Amino acid sequence: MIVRLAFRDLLHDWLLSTCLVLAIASIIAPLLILFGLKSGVIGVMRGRLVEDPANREIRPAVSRRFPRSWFEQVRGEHPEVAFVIPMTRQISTSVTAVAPGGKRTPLSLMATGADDPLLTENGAAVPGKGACVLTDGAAAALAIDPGTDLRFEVTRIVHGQPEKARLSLRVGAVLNARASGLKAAYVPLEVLEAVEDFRDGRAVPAFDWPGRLPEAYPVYDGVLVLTREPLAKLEQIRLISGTGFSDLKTLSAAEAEELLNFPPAPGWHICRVAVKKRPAGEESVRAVRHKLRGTGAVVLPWIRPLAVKLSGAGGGTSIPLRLFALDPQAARVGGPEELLPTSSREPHIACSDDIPLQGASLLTVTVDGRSLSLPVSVFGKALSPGTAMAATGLAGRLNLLRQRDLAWDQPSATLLLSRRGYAGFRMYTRTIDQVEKMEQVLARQGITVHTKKQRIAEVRRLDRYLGLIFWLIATVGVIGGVSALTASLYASVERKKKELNMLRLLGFLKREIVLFPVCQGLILSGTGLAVAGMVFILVSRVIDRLFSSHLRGAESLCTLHANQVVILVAGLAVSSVCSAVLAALQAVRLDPAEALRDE
Amino acid sequence: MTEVIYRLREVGKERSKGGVSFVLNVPELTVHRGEFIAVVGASGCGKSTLLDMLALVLAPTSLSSFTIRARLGGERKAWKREELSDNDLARIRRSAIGYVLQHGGLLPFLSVRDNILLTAAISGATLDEDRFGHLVARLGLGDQMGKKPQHLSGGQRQRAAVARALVHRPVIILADEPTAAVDHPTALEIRDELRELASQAGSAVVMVTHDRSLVAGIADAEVHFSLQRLSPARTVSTTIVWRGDTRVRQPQARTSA
Repeated sequence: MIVRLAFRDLLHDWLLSTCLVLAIASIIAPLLILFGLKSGVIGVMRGRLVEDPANREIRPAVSRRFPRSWFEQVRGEHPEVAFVIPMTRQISTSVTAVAPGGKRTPLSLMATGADDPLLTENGAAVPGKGACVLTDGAAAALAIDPGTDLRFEVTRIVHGQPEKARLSLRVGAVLNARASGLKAAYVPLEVLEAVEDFRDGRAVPAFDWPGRLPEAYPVYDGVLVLTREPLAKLEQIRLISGTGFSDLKTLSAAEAEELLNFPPAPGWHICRVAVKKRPAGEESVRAVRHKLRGTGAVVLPWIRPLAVKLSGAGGGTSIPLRLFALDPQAARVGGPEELLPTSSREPHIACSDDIPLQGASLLTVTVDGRSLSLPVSVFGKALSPGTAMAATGLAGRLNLLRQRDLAWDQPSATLLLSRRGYAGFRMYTRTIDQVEKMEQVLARQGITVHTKKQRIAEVRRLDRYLGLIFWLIATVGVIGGVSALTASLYASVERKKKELNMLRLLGFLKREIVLFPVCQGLILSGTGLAVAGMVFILVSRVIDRLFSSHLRGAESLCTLHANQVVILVAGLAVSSVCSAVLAALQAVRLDPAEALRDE
Repeated sequence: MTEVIYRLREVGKERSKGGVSFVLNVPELTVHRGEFIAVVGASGCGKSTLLDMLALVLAPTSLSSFTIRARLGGERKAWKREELSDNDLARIRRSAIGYVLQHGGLLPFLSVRDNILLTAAISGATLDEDRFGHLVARLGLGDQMGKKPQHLSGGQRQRAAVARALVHRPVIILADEPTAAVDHPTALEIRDELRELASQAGSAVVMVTHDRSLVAGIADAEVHFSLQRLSPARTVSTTIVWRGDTRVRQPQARTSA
């Protein structure tokens, strides 16, 4: 009932109530606008500077080789890295884009992948297969909209002849202008790799681009030279000068069997011509053969035995073996017959008879942390148990795994060289505060990087100062506002003193009497807040309209967060209740009779 | 003998203001149910002070006994003033006391009707429509019910205040100079209306007035004041109660006798 009375009283004094509401609104509205500006301006600034992924970017200062494993290691060990993607050599990223309308422009290609903050935080989804994302500059130069197909042309010069490869990608999105000032297209990593491969003269089967396949080449750790007569000193020196080999050693028959995997026929003098460090290629073997031309010497390429595993084509247990090279000439010196080609495209492997495998199998070579699997045809031969032999060329190619990653290409049935790594990377930390730490981590690995360290420091300083200034103004404003609100409500209770005591005389309890001004205070300040809110919305619209040319999309210079509104409403309610209670207690402190007659 | 509503024995109230103190002594005052008691005296003799103490809004500074018979918490008995809390006093006020102030004391933001019904609403008394209609008709307020108090004449305002004091059927009606602000004929009318309606309701009336002619020969008892200036800074006022021509004996006299 007291609530109803309070409301009736406000209605009765509607003129005064309106004045109070307007007074309260005029106190709150500037505060609302001030807070709105604070969070709006700071929000926009943070959005543009602090939260701009460009400021969290880390790029290597110089080109270096970063193997695939390095990227995996970074992703695995540094949770502060939000995103890291390889970059190819700068030179191989430039392509020409041709819009359907015929406009042409040179572009840089950049690799992107899932969760790329530069894309996701600039209004673009990460492009999938067959799609790309353009920077604002690129889209403008091509006069192209998302959804259209864009043709890319990559050129290379082979034997003095220019060659051109074409590729069509759908434009998935165009980035906000802040993302990059360059004309660039963000594409899946495979596209970038393909362009680099094409530039380097290689074929890219996935895009149907011609060129040579990066076939694996055989490397050997040495050759075994078998002669009827012992080699003269001079001949020995000739074998290690200019052939790529540097180490010559005469072997006993037992030592030779150890290296050949078969006992050499008697009557041959055997020496090993080997490399000290880097294995030698086929040309070294040819050089040795050339120097021994006409002497009847047998030259057998040699590799250090490779640890391999054989398993059935359908899986099953794998059997560990040591793999040796088997040259066609070995048969001349007591070795096994060479493996004759069959209809099967798979490479042939000779295995010791004790291995219960025959025909199609899977060969896995693991050496120095690299691994390679390929299908093979297995033939049983009378070899020492636990050994296998492969034709010299294949053994030499497998031996290359000691230095390079290899992969078996089924369509061409060849061993191909895998990409060795990447020239650079593009990395983003989760927050700007992690950039410096990551820079130090990379510096310890000897990687010098470019970061926006200076800019970050500036932005943080500015953020702090602006925040401080706004809080100072806001504090003064809030104190003033609360005092004015308290004063208004207190004065209105003072005016109501007589009525309040009349109500007490009629038998209202003290707490009911206190409720009367509290209700009025809440109604007044609530209405005042609503009016102020409307003024705020109006003003913020006007501000945004005035500065619309400087704002992007959903940015607003004058805005309030929900929690700020809650704090404001709660603060207003608390201060109105407090001032009303204080005033009311003051009013009912006296005996009601005394207050009534105190006129 | 009818029921005793108020029984006051040696109740005193001292008030000081600016170094000047005023003491009101009430040696003896008894109000029975249905009685019409007049409190008569010049201004400054303590009439309003006495009335406010009876209205339970002013606490005595000394007392040997002060009881009021009223219903509180479902129990009807003579309650000791000093044992009642502020909220108890308010509850007794809302149910047992009707109050008529010099200027009506109507709430400006309520219509006459709502003002009159306010006491009934606060005390939770059920409203008898016939009785309400009779009350309003008797006081001539029938066509004023929708107006706000500021649009009424002084007499109508006092009549509305009388109606408000009566509508919830209190056992006591306290009227503080209810006719001071109106002309003499109207004062007489209001006095009669108050007396008549109160006696119909069985309520006791304690009416304060400075005009003895208004109550002479009508009141069941009259309370007068005897002022003694002990010093320039101290005045003592003592009540003397007359029932008809008999001065009610004071307790001191009785104990000394």
